[in-house]
Amino acid sequence: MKKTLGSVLKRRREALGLTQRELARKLGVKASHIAYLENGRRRPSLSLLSRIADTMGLDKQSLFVLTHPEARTLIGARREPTRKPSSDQVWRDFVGNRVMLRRYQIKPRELRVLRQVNMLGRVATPRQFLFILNSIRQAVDEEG
Amino acid sequence: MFARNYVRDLRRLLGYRELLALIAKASEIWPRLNRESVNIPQPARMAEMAAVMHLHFKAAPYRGPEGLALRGFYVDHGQNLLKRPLVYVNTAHHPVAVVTTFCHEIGHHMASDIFRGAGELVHLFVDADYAAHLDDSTELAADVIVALAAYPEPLARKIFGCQTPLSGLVAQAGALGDEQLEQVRERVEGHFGVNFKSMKSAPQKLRYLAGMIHFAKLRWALLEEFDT
Repeated sequence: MKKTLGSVLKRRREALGLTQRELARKLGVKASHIAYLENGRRRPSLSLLSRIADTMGLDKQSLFVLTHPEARTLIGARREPTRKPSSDQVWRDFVGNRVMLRRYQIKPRELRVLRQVNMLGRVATPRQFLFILNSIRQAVDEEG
Repeated sequence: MFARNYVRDLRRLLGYRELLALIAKASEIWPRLNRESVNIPQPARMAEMAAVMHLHFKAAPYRGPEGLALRGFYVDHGQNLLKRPLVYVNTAHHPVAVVTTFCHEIGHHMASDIFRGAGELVHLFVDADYAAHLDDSTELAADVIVALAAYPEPLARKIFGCQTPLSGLVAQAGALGDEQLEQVRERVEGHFGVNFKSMKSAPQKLRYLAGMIHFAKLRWALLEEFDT
């Protein structure tokens, strides 16, 4: 299947577990506008493109080239994005560390909560996930 | 952040009714909110206030370069996780930053009812990540509480009231003028006791200055957009 801006946006949105409405709210646009972008009926403005990249953790230059394929030769764009969002890397490091998950006895339900935290895109290190988790565990203990 | 039009962002993310609801809820805790400055509470007093709101409250230092990036967080109840929401504030920061974080997280608690269903389960306050707050209605709502607490309306009118000759649909809160910026700095240093010159960490000083400018611009925008 040919890679288009719409297909990239849809795949990423679904990977983040967002509905079109939720994404639209984050971007400050109407849900119908997201639908138009995903089915290729609209091109985003440059400012919206920038917000999409920041919100969804996507590479701005790649999105620009997908939006304006004719610009590929002008800017010598890469064929594939080479930089993954750093917050995703932190999450992969965290869930990939089986030893740590066992040591801290992290349950699937807790991982689901931390996954939501990761989707905010603001966690810098696996240690922050542990700190947040321990704070929540303390509160749960207080509730008995 | 410095180039953002705060009025436009405020208009996009927060309606007047939502603002009034937010102020009404916050006034249950701070009856003189937006009329007088909110006193700077010690962590023990914050804990008492959190208890009144039936919140879990944790105030503890989380140090290190990566630790200081975290100012605090709010965990909403629900999803079979917590029966009561949790507020955490990182006390490794300057006391005024701690209070700012507390007000911001309490703002999340106030906003959680108003934006019920639209918000995240967890809200992280990452130091100096203010540009992201201008794209998120719940973050902006939480920041509104900070701005109102720091600059009650009479003071806000004094500092920002004459900044823009235009109002209404064409109003905008862009760059703070030198005079306004100086008054804001005097306010933060004089009333809240923040001494920027004595701060040893230049990056941390810059992050605090970014916060000072962000909340001042937001307060100015509230005045311009809502006359509040």
